[in-house]
Amino acid sequence: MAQPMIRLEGLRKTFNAGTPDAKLATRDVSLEVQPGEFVAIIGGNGAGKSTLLNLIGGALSPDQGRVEIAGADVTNQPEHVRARQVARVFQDPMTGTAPMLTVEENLVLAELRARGRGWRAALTASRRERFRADLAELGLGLEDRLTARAGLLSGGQRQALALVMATLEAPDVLLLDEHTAALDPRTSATVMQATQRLVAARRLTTMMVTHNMEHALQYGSRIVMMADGGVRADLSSQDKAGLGVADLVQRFHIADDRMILS
Amino acid sequence: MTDILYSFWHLVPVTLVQSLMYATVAFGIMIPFRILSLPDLTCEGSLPLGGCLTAALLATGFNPYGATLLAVLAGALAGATTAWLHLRFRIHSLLAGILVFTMLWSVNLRVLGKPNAPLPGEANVFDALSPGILMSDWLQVGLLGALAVAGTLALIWLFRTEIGLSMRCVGVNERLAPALAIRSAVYIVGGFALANAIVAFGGALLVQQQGYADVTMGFGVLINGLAALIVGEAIVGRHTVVRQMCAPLVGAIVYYQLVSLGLATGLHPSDLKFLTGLFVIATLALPRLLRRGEGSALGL
Repeated sequence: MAQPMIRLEGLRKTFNAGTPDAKLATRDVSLEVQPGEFVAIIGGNGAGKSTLLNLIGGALSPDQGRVEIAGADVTNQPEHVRARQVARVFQDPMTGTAPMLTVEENLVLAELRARGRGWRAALTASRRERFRADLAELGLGLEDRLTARAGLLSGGQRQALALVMATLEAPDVLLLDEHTAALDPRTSATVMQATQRLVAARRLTTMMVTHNMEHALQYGSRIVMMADGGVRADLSSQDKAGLGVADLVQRFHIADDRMILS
Repeated sequence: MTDILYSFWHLVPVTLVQSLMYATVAFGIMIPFRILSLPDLTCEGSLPLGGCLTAALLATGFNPYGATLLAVLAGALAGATTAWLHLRFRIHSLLAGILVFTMLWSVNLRVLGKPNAPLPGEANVFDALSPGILMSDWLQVGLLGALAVAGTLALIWLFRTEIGLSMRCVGVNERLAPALAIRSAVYIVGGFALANAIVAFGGALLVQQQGYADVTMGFGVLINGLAALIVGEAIVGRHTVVRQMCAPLVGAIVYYQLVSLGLATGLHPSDLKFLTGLFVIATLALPRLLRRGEGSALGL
């Protein structure tokens, strides 16, 4: 098999270590993700899903273990360095974009994520043209709002923009942290469809945390279920073929109010 | 009434010269406060630092241009120190600024050697350019005005570059910046250094224009600079880079003329700080008073 895009080895992270509130957020998680895989991570609150994404993205560093991306050890690489390879979309639409900056300024920053920055003019005619084309692909009318401030967009539009920002320069790894959880069901479906299109077009290696089991089944090429800081189950696309939401619930005794079972 | 207007009118060019130099403080407040969303008070120390260092260097026969340049670099160092204290030790940026400007007071006394000192005659950038400049208020207005416009244009250019845009991102979304491969600390140190370099440049110009340096020359400049910035933002707005960069200059010009008008109408100079403070409080409180029902930060 080819070299995995992500290789996690014995990742352990404790919050508030040494205090009565100490909590083991991930316990020795080991996982390999192949290039082009779309891994949906499900699990209850406090299962360690978001911590895992933060460890891969570099926002947190592990107490123990190793993170490899595209064959390189990045365990101790700070987030701002790793971000050249790893792009992410946050749960909160307020976090994934800069609200006081315009749509086009946000997109320039996204382009610079991978390319680095200099003393050149940020906004150029060729960049605007590119952004307009990329946004038009999305079909949400964002291409006509390049000069609007991102803060003026609706939650769904902002998540769509965050998604375009994360995929504008194809990252080695795309991390989606419950990126549709704050949206209403219809907008959530629209953003998920946009996600699938963008990810498929660029064959991106993707890890998506979700509480929506249907999304996990429909869009994930693989489902990883976490519980109590560890990987409880790992379903390949063959394993999950023919499974429905009810089967997942039954098989893994999922009891979580936030899981969307519809 | 005509007396008042006459004395105000008479002072317009002098006040313009003052305001063009003190505009540097408004710029130095604007960059950390508005671009980086981190208020900085270091200017209260970096202005006299620029002035005292320039005066001390000129007293030794140093070249005026070189002395001004070194003053600018010293200001950058002061700003970088405040940012470093904030980033390295998690000291609030306001407290870090207070610490730095308090410590700079001792530094400035050491540098100048005494609380105030006259500059040796004709040893300044204005006379180095042309001996006629200091004789004419309007020549000074022209020269300093051109300098201020050039500086404003340079800042507009800066904040429209890729690096400048990244600095603005650090200020508007701290969580997003590292995820976009932006190393926030570098931009915060750079922004504070730039801001205080500009303020120290103002200090260097001030002492060379007025012919003496005084370690207390920074006292109260902060509140004047803030008031000038607020006036400017009220006039030109702040929603685009161009407007935000023009605000300190426009604000300084208008604010110092207003002060001059107030003094001409018999306002006592010693009451000025109180009134300026009231003005700043009023402009900060106004938006909250207009949005009734939301209450204050204390929930009162």
